[in-house]
Amino acid sequence: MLIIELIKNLFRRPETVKYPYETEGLNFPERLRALHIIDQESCIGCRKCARACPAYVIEMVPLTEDELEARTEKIKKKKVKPVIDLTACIFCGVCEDVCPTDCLNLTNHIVLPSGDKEELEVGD
Amino acid sequence: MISDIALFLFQSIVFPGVFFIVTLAFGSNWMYRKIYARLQRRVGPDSAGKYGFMQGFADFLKTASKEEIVPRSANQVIFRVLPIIAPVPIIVGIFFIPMMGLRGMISSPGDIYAIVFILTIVTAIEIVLGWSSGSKYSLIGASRSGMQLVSFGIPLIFSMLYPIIRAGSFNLMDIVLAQDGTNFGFLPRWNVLGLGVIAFVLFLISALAELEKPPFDTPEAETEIAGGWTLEYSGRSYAYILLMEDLKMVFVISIGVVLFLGGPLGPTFGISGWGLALLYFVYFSLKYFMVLIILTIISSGLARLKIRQIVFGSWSFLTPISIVFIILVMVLGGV
Amino acid sequence: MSKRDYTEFNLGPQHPALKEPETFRVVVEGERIVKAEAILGHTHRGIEKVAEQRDYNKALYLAERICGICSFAHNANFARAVEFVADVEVPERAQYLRVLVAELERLHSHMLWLGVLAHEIGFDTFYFLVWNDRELVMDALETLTGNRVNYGMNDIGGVRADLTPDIKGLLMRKLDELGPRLEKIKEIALKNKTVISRTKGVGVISNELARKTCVTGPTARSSGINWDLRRDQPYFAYGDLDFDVKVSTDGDVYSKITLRIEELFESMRIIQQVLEHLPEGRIKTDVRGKLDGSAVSRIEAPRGENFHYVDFRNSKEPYRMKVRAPTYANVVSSVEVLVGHYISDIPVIVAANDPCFSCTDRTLVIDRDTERYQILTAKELRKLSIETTKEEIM
Repeated sequence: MLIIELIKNLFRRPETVKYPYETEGLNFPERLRALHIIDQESCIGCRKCARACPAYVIEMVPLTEDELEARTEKIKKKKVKPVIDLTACIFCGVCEDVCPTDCLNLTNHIVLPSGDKEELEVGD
Repeated sequence: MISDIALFLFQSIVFPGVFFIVTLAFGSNWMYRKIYARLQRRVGPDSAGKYGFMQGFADFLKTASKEEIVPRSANQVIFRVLPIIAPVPIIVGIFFIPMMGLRGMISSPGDIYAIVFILTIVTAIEIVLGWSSGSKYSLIGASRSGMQLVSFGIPLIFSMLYPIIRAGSFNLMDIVLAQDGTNFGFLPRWNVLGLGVIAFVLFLISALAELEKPPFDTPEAETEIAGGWTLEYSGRSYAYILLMEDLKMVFVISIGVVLFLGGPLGPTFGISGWGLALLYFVYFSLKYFMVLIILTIISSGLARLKIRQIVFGSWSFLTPISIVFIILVMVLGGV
Repeated sequence: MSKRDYTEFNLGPQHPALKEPETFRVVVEGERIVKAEAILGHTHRGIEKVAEQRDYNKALYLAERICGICSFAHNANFARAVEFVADVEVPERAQYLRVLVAELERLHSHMLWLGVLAHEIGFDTFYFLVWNDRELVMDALETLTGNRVNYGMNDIGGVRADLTPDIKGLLMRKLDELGPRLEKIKEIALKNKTVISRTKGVGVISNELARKTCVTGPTARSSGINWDLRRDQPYFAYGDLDFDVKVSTDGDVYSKITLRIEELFESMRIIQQVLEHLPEGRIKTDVRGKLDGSAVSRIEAPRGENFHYVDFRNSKEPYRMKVRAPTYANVVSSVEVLVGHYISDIPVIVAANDPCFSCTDRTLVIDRDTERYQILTAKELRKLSIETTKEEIM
């Protein structure tokens, strides 16, 4: 009966989670596709992610002088690095799938709001 | 003499006057929304003030500070002026209610006449408000509001007749006093305990219709006519309309408390003077919020009715019952 | 009948009853509707054209974004059409996983619909109760696929995410919790007097009208058309699964509520079976290179039949992509039904078909002559188009 359910509800805890002030009760599964992290140390600059991206948000940016200097043995042929523009990203995770060195990963960190557009560029 | 005037001014403006009534209105708004939300497993208002208690006030201020848009098709004078004076009749009506003592701020031999008149004039104001906005949705809302008045006016007034017959007076103080004392030593002689429960149920249903709360929110039906007669109002005008709706809630529920639940009556423990007034007020508030909670639970458990179903249900069901009930009461001589 | 008895007004494109921009122009006499028409096309985004510029792997994610609610249906349908063209065998495990997500999506879509309908009839409490329970399904989908809405589950030739024992256990727990809650929802929805009074006998789509306007999905099944692609043209792994297709003959909104609630229980059964009989094996067959040929794929989305056509001409980008979403078929019937009802019934009748105008608005616009109220025949339309083309050329 609805009326019994209603009176029960009156004494139950509300289901609302006051996000972002509270996060208790929210679930962030492992597979959640959110903020990208790029390990530029192991990225070889193969452009696979940029080519596969359905939203065309991964740009291959040429390395600066300092970065060219700092290349290690493993990535010594690297000339460009991926930079992801999260403002237009659709978070499909294809870049993660195609990455041959496993340096590009999507985490389950969903808190992305920012007042600065620069902050939403991953990889820089 | 001067102290009398000062007391009267204090009473009419601060407590239990306009200031207090408006606070009570916002408090009722908060209570209604909070309970409505909790019944639906939501939190409800919780940011403005402790537990969101200031939500009604915050809404009023925020709405009032917004830009006021007057549609070109609206009746310019009525559209601008009427919302501002709309809450006034209800505040006057609430002055009749005995909250702090057995006598209201205003008291006359014909209190009930005034109350019924104000209840009707409020709906009339709604109709004119809707009509003057010049929008089709508002017009439909206004016509629905009028139809609701026509349908629920008779059950509402007939349900109010029962306490009048029992007290033999149109004065609210007499009606309250007639409910004093106890039956069988423990049961208060409130109108609701006994045959009056039928009248009370009729009153609750009609009150929901008068307040335009679900399932009788047809004149404002958001998903059908996008807010009905309130649609075109914005800014300060809309703030006053919100205030009017909250005040209406205070007014109608208070009438129910006075007529059926013994108003401010309760065990006095031999206290007198200001202490007694305070005690009366505590009793009144307890009954008031109880009725409010009952109304909230009823309105949360039902879907909105169609205006045809409301008119049909009222004329074929509620009105005959109320008439038969009142004739019965008259024949039995006031029981 | 004099002209001043009538009032004409627009419901929409911005209206609280419509969750997406769409116009219903109705003419009323008092509160009774004497004429109604739908004006579609406010959310046209040109998705089909955009898809022609992307290779199939990217267009897959575009197809997913045709609709926010039945995103998996569009996504899987597009993938299936491309798989037909590429002529690849999708592994059995992937087929079962597709069924799993499709049915979870049906659960959440139907519960969303129930909530929306409750909101339209002013029964907000029920709306919040249903949507609260819907969160269980959303959590399950989020855990399984990685997102609440656009799941990104499909790939051409299979699925992207596998079902691990952990997630399987979680799904089982969620379903066990959902079962009793659905029973409660059923009892509240079907027994509440005001719900019955608002929906019973309202918006009756007769079998005849249903056939005439070619409605699909639950709308068709509630009008006595016994048709469900899952059973009649089994796709994915539906052929191996045991489920009933519920049919009602009343055609009113109440029968649609009953039908969808019963479909909820059937979906639960299907998910149960998938979890029990999930075959082992790979989850993806690779598809590479250019394709040639065209294919049509139809699947039963939560709202009805979903149609995708793709044409490849020795390219990776589709030469032509065509989508027909179920709402486009259903909205016509609701417009026909509106006449004779009252203003209060408009949101109920429109919402009863579970309209999703984002799905619908891609290329076509219904346009009727408002004053003379006539529907253009195919011949007239052809003539009109030739004339306008001539004008443009001149």
